[in-house]
Amino acid sequence: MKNSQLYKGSLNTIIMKLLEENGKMYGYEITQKVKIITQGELNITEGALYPALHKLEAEGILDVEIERVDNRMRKYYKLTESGQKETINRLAELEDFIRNMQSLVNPKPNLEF
Amino acid sequence: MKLTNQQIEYVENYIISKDIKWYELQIELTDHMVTSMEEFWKKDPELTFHQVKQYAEEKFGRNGFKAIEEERTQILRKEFRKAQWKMIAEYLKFPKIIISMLLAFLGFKASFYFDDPIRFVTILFGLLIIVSIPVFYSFYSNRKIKGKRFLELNISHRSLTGIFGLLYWIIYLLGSIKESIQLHSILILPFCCVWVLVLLFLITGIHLQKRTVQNITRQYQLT
Repeated sequence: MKNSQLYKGSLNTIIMKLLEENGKMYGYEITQKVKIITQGELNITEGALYPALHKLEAEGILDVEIERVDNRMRKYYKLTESGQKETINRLAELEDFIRNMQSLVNPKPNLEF
Repeated sequence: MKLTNQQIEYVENYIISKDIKWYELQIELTDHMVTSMEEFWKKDPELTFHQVKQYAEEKFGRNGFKAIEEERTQILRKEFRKAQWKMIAEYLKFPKIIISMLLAFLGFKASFYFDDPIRFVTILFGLLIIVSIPVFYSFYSNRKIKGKRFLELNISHRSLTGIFGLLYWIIYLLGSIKESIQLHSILILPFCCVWVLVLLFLITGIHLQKRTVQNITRQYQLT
């Protein structure tokens, strides 16, 4: 990841967006999916991913489902009903933030005199 | 390349050896390590089992698995405290505040039947300790679900041990204002209010613990 500080505040929203699109996912799958989508630009570390997942779970945004896969247990995360609503709100907030940042970084020339 | 059952068991025991005693973390970290190791092996089949294990573990950073456990503990503690105070706050708002006020008032009224106010307050809080004993015993006997220990459950139990700390301060306060209470019986009223608060703490704690057990049993299919 080029600048982790820039992505840090958006990690929860990234996870929620991925779960909204994919239904249920496990930890490793989330890290790989982000890597593929961003073509290796964004690398979510395990040390950042699990606290984020655990926080969203404790807040009631995510629910957990256990499945047996290849002779081991796998913990899947999925959005709860309130988590789905929260995802819409957070994505809207993130879009606003991106728009504002774009206007600050690339301000349109003021044509009014 | 897929890991054999024996290798998966080795990884599982390795995580346990790193002092990760909570089932929810054991299964999550084992699965992550195994999947990551299989990916490393797919990319380079020449690597040994211990090399892929080392590479997969390095991805967890310098403090490794323990840091994740510590962060989870903090998160759960904070969220549990928040949930408990939210429930208690309901009893301090209308209409439930009527029940809380009535309990405190009844306690205060009952003090009139006692000649010694100190003795009354001691009995009041003593009753609370007696009620807490079976609750704590039930928590102790339910500290595992189907032989598995969960951090979430442990946090829900620990929140109740705070009651003993609070009772210690009450006894201390009672001793330091002994003479004033004997002279002004109205001073019993704040103790009755604290008694109601401790009772609410106990009731909400029991409720949250039950909810946690139900949640874990459903999520981890431990019926």
